[in-house]
Amino acid sequence: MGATERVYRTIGGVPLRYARSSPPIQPMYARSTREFEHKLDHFSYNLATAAPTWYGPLRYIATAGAYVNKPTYHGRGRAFDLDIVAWRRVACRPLSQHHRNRQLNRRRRYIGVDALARRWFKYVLDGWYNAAHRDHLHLDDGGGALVFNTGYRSDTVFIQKAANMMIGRRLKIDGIYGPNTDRAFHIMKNRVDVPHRVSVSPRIYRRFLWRLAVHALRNRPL
Amino acid sequence: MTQPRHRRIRHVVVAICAALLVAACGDAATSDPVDVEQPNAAPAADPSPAASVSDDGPTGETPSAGPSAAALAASGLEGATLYGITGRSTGTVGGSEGLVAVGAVDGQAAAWTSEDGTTWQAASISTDRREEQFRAVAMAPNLMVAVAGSDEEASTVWTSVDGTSWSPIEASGIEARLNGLVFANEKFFAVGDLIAGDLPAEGGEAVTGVIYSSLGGWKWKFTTNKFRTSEATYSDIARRGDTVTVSSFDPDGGVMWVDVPGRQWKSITKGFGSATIQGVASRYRGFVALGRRIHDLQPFAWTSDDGFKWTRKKLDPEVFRPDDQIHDMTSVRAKLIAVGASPEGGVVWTSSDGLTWTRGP
Repeated sequence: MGATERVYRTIGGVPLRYARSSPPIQPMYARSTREFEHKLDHFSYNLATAAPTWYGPLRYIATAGAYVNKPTYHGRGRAFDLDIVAWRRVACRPLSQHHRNRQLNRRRRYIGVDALARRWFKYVLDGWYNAAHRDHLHLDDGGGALVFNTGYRSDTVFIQKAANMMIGRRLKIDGIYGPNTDRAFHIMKNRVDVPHRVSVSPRIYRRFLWRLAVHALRNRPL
Repeated sequence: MTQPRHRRIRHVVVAICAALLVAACGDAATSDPVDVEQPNAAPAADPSPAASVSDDGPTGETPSAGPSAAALAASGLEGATLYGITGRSTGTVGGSEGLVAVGAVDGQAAAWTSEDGTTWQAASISTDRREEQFRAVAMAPNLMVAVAGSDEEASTVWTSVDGTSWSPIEASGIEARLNGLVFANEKFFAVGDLIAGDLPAEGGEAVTGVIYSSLGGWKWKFTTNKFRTSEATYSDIARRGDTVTVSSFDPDGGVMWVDVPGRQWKSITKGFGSATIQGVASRYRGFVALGRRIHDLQPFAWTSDDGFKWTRKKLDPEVFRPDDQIHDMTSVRAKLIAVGASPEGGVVWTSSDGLTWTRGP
């Protein structure tokens, strides 16, 4: 019912594209609930405003789809597979596995986009979460409050990778929130001047994610 | 100096409208608490009605949607989502023929029967496990079987004699989420997927497709899990003679799996690229599948004589509208029937050849 109540080809005014066909970039229609579309609008707006001005304006966002007929959140119109975020001068391409690109600035850009997605979607499954997501970011709004959950593999692998890329740690990306991960997360929160209540306060966690993204998109360590 | 009465009334009306406008703007301005560093003025919500396309289409094949008589749900299916459909054979319910559909209303299990496919009556669901939405249904000569689930757990199996009342069975042996069901060659076959075994089910994504089979619908036997593809969904299963076809899709598009005795499962991707496959059924000759192109929602039918070589044909986007969900397709008495949902409720489509479809009611 509500899963396809909205059919749209832009989010936040930015054109949607499909990049998995031939010719490779096609205009794309996505379907979802109205509420989920609004979250995508916010996410798109964050992508535009968090990026440095030299990126240029957002050109398009490529997706592999939102609603599709399958179990859980895609089937409920509450999930979105993100393939590419293209600004005028640069792009973040999960589709091209930028999470493991040789260039640090591209990996950091991926972390920045990943962080901004987490400000609106509890489950963000990225290239470090598992092999199935090596070529896209899965975003959905299940999973409860927008806080950091130490028991969620998707949250923990993200923080571990962010610590490695943004403060030079060498954490094992295993999704297990142990003392080393906790210490590294502690340092990152201190560096962006955010209190430590990220597991209980969505507002604080989202503030941390914003500041992390701003640094990552500028290829600056914390 | 006093104003004339009609002018005073007009001023009062204008004042009330202005007050309402200010109140509405005030709500919008304060509805989204923002962080200091995030200038987060949310983009305005599109005020267009539900199930509308918010921009012009990219090509001449623009999906279009909007309220119309054709978009309304079939009688008795208002607010419903249909996930499965099957025929009802002669001999049940006083010798009548008809259809049985299963699905959900407001997220709760529901089933319906119909004599003509136009008017539907709700069936009785004899359990309090209503949060398990029905996902598929199939008919054997003296028994109907449906599968249901809540997405996060393994599916449950339900049975019914005639489709008018349904009861769950215990300990079916199924450990997967099932999406498709068929009865062929004296057996039930079900297809679905497993969530990643040792990973938490964040996002609920599956990694492996599975097939189960059952002689009587009560005990199910694991048959194969050879469909290991990345993040795929296994949507439906059909059988004709000894050939079994399983439809699936992932972010890259559709994959049809075909099995004939003595051969390995073979995956067919030619013709299915950048499309989802929602249903597959046997027909008078071979198979037919139903789905959509991902980027522009163009509906397609695929036909095949042998399950290996498929021919694609565009379907009318006014019959399968962009905001329609297509969930299942089956063949009943030489007719093909597909079911799904529009924003208004359950929808039934019929076809004689799989290439030209009529939208219900």
